[in-house]
Amino acid sequence: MRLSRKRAALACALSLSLFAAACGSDEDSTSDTTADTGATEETTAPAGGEADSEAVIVYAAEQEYTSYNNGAADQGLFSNTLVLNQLLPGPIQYLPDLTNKTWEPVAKSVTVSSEDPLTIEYVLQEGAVWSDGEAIDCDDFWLAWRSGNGKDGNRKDAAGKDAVDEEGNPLPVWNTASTTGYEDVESLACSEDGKTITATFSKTFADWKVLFGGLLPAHIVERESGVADLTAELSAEDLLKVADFWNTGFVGFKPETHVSGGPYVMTEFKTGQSLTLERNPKWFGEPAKAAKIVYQMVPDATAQPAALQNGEVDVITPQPNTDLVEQIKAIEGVNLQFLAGTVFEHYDLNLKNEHLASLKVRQALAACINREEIVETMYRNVDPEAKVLNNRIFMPDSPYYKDGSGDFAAQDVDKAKALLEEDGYVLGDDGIYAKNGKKLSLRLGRRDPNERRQQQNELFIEQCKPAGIELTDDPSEDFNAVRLPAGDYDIALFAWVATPALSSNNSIYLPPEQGGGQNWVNYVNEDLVPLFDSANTSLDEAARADIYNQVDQILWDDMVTIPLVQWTELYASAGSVGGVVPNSFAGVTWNAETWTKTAK
Amino acid sequence: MLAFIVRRLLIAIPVLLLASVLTFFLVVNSGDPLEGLRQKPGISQQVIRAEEIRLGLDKPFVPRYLDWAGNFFTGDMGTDIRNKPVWPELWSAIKYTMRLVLIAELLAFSVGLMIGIVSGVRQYSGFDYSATFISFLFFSLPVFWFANLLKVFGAIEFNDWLENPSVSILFAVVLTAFIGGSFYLIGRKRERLRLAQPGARYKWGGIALGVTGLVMLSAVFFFEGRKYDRFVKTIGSEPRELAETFGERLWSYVGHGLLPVIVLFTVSYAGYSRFMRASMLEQLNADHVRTARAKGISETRVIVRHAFRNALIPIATVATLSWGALIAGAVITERVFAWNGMGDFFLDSLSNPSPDPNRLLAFVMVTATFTIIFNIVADIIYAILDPRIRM
Repeated sequence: MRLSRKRAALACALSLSLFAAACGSDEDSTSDTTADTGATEETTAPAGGEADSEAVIVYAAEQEYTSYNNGAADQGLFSNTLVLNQLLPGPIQYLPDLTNKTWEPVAKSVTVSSEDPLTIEYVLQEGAVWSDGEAIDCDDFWLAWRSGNGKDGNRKDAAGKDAVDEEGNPLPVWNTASTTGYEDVESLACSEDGKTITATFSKTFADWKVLFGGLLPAHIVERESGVADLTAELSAEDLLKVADFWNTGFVGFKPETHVSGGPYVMTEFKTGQSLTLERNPKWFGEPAKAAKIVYQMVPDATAQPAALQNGEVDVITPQPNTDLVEQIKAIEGVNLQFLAGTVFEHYDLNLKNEHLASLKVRQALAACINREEIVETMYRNVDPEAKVLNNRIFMPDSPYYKDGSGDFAAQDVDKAKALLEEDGYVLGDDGIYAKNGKKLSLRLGRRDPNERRQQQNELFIEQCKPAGIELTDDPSEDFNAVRLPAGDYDIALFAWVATPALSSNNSIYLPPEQGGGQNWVNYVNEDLVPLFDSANTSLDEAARADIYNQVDQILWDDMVTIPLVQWTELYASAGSVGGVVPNSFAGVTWNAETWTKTAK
Repeated sequence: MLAFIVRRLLIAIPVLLLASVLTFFLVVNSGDPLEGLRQKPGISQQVIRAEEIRLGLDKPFVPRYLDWAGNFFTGDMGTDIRNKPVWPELWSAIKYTMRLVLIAELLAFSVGLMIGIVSGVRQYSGFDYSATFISFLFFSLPVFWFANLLKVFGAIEFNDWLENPSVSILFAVVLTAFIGGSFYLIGRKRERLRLAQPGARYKWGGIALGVTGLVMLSAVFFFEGRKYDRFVKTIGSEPRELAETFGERLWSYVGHGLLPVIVLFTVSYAGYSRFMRASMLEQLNADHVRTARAKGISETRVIVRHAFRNALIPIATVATLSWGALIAGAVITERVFAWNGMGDFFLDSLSNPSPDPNRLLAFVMVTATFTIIFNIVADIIYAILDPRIRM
């Protein structure tokens, strides 16, 4: 899977799922965190009174910004995305429902000029410039492409051979997190003025819209590395100069290198304290409404409501739990919104297990689980509108969401038993089914500690007891890091992120040899291969969504994963602040340039 | 003296080396620093490999340790898993922690000492009982709960009041009467015990009544129609923007530091006052104090020269060690008040999203150094306090 603007989110999702604490997870994994469903309250009410053009709006950041270069393998973080949303330009903007549009201030038009080979023409606005006055142009696209396409290969040693570490593994020139998409771009042509960019693909990449988001300033890279033109053929030495600056030069903040192509410009960064964005005087779109956006570090989510009430911060997005929600509701004039986010929980059934290899057993599990009860107990205490998720690819607020659960929408213990008996299982004296002397006893793997997942597992265990299935909680600290990728579990509880890059699903559901890098359960259904192939080359959004819904239907039929529920996200803003719109994928700051604050 | 310090510093070197080996062993086994990276979708093996080499994860224990130690002891703390240099962040954490801890501890130490001495000298008096009660109350306060209570009443409610301050006349009258009455009762009791001249109750009560009344009355008029900023903060270690004048700047620093200092103060104060009381009692009952009194030395001199000075010796150990430990940060307090100090640094390094070896090592080495230094300081203080000890 890959994402452009918010590549880090996925990583977070996985680790978050375990409360690894990356990506702004809640430290104390106690309590019934999250739950959620569609946005319950529509957008924020406009604040009464006149918006103050000198306003300073403070956002409580749980995690620190670290780098401008979110595409570098060691620097990608969601906390960076929250800042870079307002600084780095790109031709496409993602909306809260994961649909997208051309980001007009930056791009005049983005058109598919040919479907075979896929050719995209980006026309940038004449007036689009970086905050140091340099034009935003084709060079910046080149930097994104060159750093991301992997064609510059590996580092060479003095003899001109691949430089290798002790074990003989080569080291890449660009320390980029992923080459997906960019590697399919065959060539990138610039017009005379640099404002028209034509990208020609060697192979159709249907998710092309995620490319070229969050462009970094190429002229800075050229200046700092002393290489005149990075779009040219470069000597090995020059190439390394450019790549080395890209790999490390954007860490932290330096006013002379961290120029902005967005509505705000970064002016101050105090490690561990705060980060300040000021209105970008060179911004070519509609000027930002508030003079400053400040990211104030408040790593402890439980400290955020008090800070909001005390007027020290204006916008908070902590991981919700019941205590926190009560505290926030008690604040006078507060604007509280819930959103069913793009991170969703699910159970993965491992086909390497002798019981789970049988479809009937998997269906029996899907029949005995009461997802409604899990959502009711664990999630609705926070967001009363949380609902069960019935699609693995589209979230309910997407226009393409389709409920494919069919017969497995609700719990049916008798059906579970019948399915097991059909499969040759016999009920033992201990009330547990067994086949060929082997008890139907399965472990529910999850990362530890995580109280919410523990409770979810406990509910699942109780629900399937009457159906004669013995489940046990199987927590371990390194579950997501080690056991999950190794396929060392019977049933795994973790989270994925739904992204606008639908092709990111390929690596989860394709057979392992055919690109299923994250298909750890050894799930092979040859029918999926042509479907994914046609989806990857289909440029029509609706037709493509249809294919993905067919994929989801097959996944329901094969029942290798059971989707559960989306995580609830909480967005709270002070009564004096208007314009805060939840956006799970891009983060709350996606539209910060339109936030307003009334003068006191 | 100099020779002593040099000798102690030389001993510190093997201690630090040993500590570094031990910590290195623990850190190396504390988890996978690249866990977060490995879980990134579509990450290539090459990239992971490059990161492993950058962090030295590909090497066996001994060469990895030697690499790290070589860099560390020549002043290079390396970079963290996000490729940021460790030292600037650690240095800022040290500064913030020092600011918080120094103020809170100095206050707690001096107040605790004074209360402890008086409690010891006036054992089983009303003062001693109330001081003991308060100490134990503070001692048993759960820091997290207390901090949040302070946020509600000390910050949010107080700031609300500041925005539109007023003192009601009823409140002024009740408070005045209460304070005046209390002093009257104390005076009466002391008269009965023949500790005060007859009529003291009227003098004490009257003065207290008058002073409180005057203060409250001026408060009633003073706050009328005034407005103030919300100055007590619940998060952050310093103001984002510095004000023009020194006074305003100081004021805004106070606003940020007030609540965390109160929390740390109450926790440490209780310990110091109890230690000091016990130590004073021991000295006051010792033979040399009885001898001093028998010789007819004045009571003040007995307490200050003969009891207090000796009572300080055990306190020196407690204080210096706890100062050394506090450099490691007051984890809960820092977390709750989003104070960017050492405790916060340590927590972040532990799981952000995975253990960060260079940050953890730098943290432990710095705190170990501080502990050693404070130990040396403790030894020097002994020598000053106790003439029998020679350096």
